[in-house]
Amino acid sequence: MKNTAQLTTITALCCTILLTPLVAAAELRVASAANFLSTIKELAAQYEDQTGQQIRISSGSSGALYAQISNGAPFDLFFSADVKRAEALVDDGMAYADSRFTYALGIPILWSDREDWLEDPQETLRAGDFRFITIAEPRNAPYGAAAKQILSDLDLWQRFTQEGRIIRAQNLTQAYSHVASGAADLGFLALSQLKDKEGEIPGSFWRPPAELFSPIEQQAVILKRAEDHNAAREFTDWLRGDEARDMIEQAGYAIP
Amino acid sequence: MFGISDNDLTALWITLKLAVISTSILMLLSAPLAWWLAHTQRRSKVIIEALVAMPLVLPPTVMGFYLLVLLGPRGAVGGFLEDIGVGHLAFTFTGLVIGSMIYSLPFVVQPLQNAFASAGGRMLETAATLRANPLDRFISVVIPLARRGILTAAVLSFAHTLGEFGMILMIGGNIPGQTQVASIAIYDHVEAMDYASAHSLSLLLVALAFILLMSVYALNRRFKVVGIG
Repeated sequence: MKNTAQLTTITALCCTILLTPLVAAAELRVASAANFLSTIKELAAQYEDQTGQQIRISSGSSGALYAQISNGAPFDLFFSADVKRAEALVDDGMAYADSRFTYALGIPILWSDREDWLEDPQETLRAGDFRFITIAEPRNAPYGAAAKQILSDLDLWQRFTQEGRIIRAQNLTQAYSHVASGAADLGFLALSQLKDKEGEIPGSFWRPPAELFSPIEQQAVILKRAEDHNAAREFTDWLRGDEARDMIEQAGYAIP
Repeated sequence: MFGISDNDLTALWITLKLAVISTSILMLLSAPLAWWLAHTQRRSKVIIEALVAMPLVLPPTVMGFYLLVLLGPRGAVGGFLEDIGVGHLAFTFTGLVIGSMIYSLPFVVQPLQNAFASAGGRMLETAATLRANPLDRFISVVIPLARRGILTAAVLSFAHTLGEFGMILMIGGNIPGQTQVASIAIYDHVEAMDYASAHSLSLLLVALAFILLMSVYALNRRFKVVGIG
């Protein structure tokens, strides 16, 4: 009896010793839509501090990441900028259906780096006293789709398209560079892009009322090839908690 | 055609227009430079040769970035144009033409330089002793002798512009009907997971490139691509 107990203890100890480094080394591999990159980095750093869990983050456009994951890219979690691609991965059988959740709601804003530009934003737009307005490609980027909706609701989409004033950036980062370089006078960007550490926004901006566009739901899923499914669950559970929600809100998103 | 939207046809048309215009201007502007490079004895020509070859080495993103800075409202060129009331060149077709010309510069200058280097000499001296004026000498002696190099330069520049992507992504602005070229339209289709449209337009480009190159080879069966560099 005694021997058996000792043996069990020793075996358990050995297993623990052998497995500990493996468990600690199993880092979570996260693929994040570019617009959420800086926020997920902060969240991950916070989570690493609290739990010791290692998290490695890759980013790209949701479309490109979706294509990578479909072709076997080794990620545990995918933070899409939209619902469509998270849903598609579930439909493809590559992600757990019950893991899909909205982690943030995007807030589009119209931005100019000039201070006085947007005192009366709708009037500025109607007057058309500018040359180029940049948006992310509406078909691929949810913020671009929202921008198209907003301009359509204001009866300006048709007109600006015909006048060749609408620049279609590949993504929000490119749209930002268009406005920041002065090449485009105005741009529809994400609030989260422009908020600095102190929560200030340079230049001038307009936050279009929510009734002008459909909500920009950003969804995450756990992928079926996740190495450590429990670790992925724990992280997404933590992201639904108050601390993480506060951080996401601080970063310039609305909370579902 | 099979599943090609009007928008894609427009993009294709803009691509061809861009290739024709930038190749034509580039050929005219590069000829004197290539001639000078082919015949000058000055040592300083290595600096010019290096500058001409730069677009071969630089990533399109570097060129796209600097062109955006240069042609935009705060750049030297764009700023000047803003001041005289013409407006800057970022996101315009003219901007794309300028970009394409820089992008394809080595593909034109190097074959021309090689061709001109071998088209001088005895024949040209003979023509000069027969009192042919410089322009006449160039048209009736140099051009026929350098025909292959000239054709190579034009085809390479045209084909290179057809396949241009990274730089246009940065300075083009992707405006349908103005600066949205075929390569960008295909990229958008792929990102939107609209693979059918991506296929149709891509196949059309593949066919176009093949027909273009084949007709050139058929037109001049001795046509040989003069090595670059």
